[in-house]
Amino acid sequence: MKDTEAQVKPASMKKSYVRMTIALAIPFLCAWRLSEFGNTVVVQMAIGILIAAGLHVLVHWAGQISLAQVALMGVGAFVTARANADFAIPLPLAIVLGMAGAVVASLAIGLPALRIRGLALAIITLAFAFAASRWLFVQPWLVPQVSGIPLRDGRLFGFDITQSSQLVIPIGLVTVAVVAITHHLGKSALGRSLRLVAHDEEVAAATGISVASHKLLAFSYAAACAGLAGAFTVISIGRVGPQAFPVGKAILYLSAVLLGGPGPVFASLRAAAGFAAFPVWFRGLGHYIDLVGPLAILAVVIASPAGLNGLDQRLHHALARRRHAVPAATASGGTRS
Amino acid sequence: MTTILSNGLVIGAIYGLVALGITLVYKKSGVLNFAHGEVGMFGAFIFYVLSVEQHLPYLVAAAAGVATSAALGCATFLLLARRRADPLNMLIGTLAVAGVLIFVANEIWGPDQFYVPPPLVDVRVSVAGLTFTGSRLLVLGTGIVLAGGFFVLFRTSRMALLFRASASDPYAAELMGVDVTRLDVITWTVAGALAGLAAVLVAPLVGFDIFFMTLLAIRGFAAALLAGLSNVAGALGAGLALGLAEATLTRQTTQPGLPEAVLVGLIVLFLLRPQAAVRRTA
Repeated sequence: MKDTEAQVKPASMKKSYVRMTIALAIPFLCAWRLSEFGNTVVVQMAIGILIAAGLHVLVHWAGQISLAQVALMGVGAFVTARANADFAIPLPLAIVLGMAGAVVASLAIGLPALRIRGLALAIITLAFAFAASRWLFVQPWLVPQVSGIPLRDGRLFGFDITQSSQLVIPIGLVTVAVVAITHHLGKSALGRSLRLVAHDEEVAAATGISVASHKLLAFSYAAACAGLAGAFTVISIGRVGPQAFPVGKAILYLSAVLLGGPGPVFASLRAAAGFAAFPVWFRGLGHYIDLVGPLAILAVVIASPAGLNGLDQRLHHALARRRHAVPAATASGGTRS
Repeated sequence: MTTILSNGLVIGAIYGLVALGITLVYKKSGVLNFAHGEVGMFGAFIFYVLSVEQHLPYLVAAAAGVATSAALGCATFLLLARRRADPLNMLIGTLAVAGVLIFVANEIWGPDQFYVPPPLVDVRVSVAGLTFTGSRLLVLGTGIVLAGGFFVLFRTSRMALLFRASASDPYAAELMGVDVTRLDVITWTVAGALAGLAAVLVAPLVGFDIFFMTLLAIRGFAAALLAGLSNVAGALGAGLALGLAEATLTRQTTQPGLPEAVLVGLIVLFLLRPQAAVRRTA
């Protein structure tokens, strides 16, 4: 048994190193190989991935639901922009403040979530999103200019953020780091505890898990990701106003995560990246692009309720069956003509 | 003060009507139908086309609008029926249906505002010192009659008994010979008709566009939630309370969006103190 582990571990470690190297190289490859337009698409995909990573933890691992992630993204964006533009706080620190702002705002949703769950929580978060877009984002103390807040700094970690070819590098690296952390979270003891809370709160409490703190942790993690995505939105545009965070976008991101389905985080990230990139890459479809999202969601809801993860599993099983079918036929003496 | 009261009652009746349909679907299928507003919006536009463009009588156009919404409500259920055991999947499905309906409506009618002349313009009625125009009284009256009707229906009819049995345990109800799918179809159709009725009644009171029912549906969800999502008569009461609160706030403040913020506060308050909400099942 030990021998088997010793044989398997180095290979799997080698595999994960290769994956990590490829992931870290992607931002640099994009900056070097893609045009300005291509890099802009990659930045949009990264923002979508960040939102989806947090939302996947919240929805599929913690069993909560939120339609307020884009509102939290807005909070992160405006706090980052104000901190940098009006208080001259360096951009990296302003981003951290933006994430902290989103986490604090998320507690407004997270605390009611300790008492309620499921569909009622969906309404609460939707109401929060509407209140944010119609009241919070028009408050002069948060958004002093109607047209949006312009950033003071032009550089982030030494990269010129006014050039999309350089902007893609810090955003890409941070996104890779967040994805790695989220993936690791899913496999950790904390991730398993979260899933147990989602599966059965009473059993979780009986095994000594603090249900309330785990729920709040999931909300905080999702909010921090949303705040980071908001900060990157303002960095990529340079100036951000309330119209950048419509309520409909929250529905789109939640749909992307539900499209991904329960299980590993990568399916949700694929869906979110696709939703972010599709409208830009397929601009030729014109306004029909707005129909693609709802139709794709309907198709998956009807055909595969377990989402892309479910489709992946079905495909995997089908391939496995096919692989095993050939030796079986040969063993039974069948010949292929 | 009387203006605030009459405005609040009419706005509240609209929210109550929307909440009635949402509650009905939730009570039967355990699903939040996020396409409820869009289903109603479609009915309002059919009503507009027949009434204003084709010059058909008001009642005929209104009936056609309500029937269209009823058909769309039924179609939404049939489309998602395979996933009815999973409310979250159904919820996302209804979001997608809403997206498709908004897209189609935008294709046909665009983002412009439309106007329908209000009915009963010459009628003015005073009740307990409050003055209502004919079209506003129609909204309030319809809300009260429908909420009362459903309240009585749910307590007296055999259909309601079957409805409650199949909502409580669909499997056991099916074993007892109840056609659960048929009841689901009826529920979603009636809820669609209620959405259409609300939209047809509201459309003459405001300039409407393809998003007008989406905003109303949010308030409808809030009212339904305050009523515990299973109390059809309470949904109207909660809608009236919300309408009165909003009318008062709108009058008192010029700050944009404050009514929405207070709405959120109200919902959170009621959820944190569920005993304060209207919980009795009707």
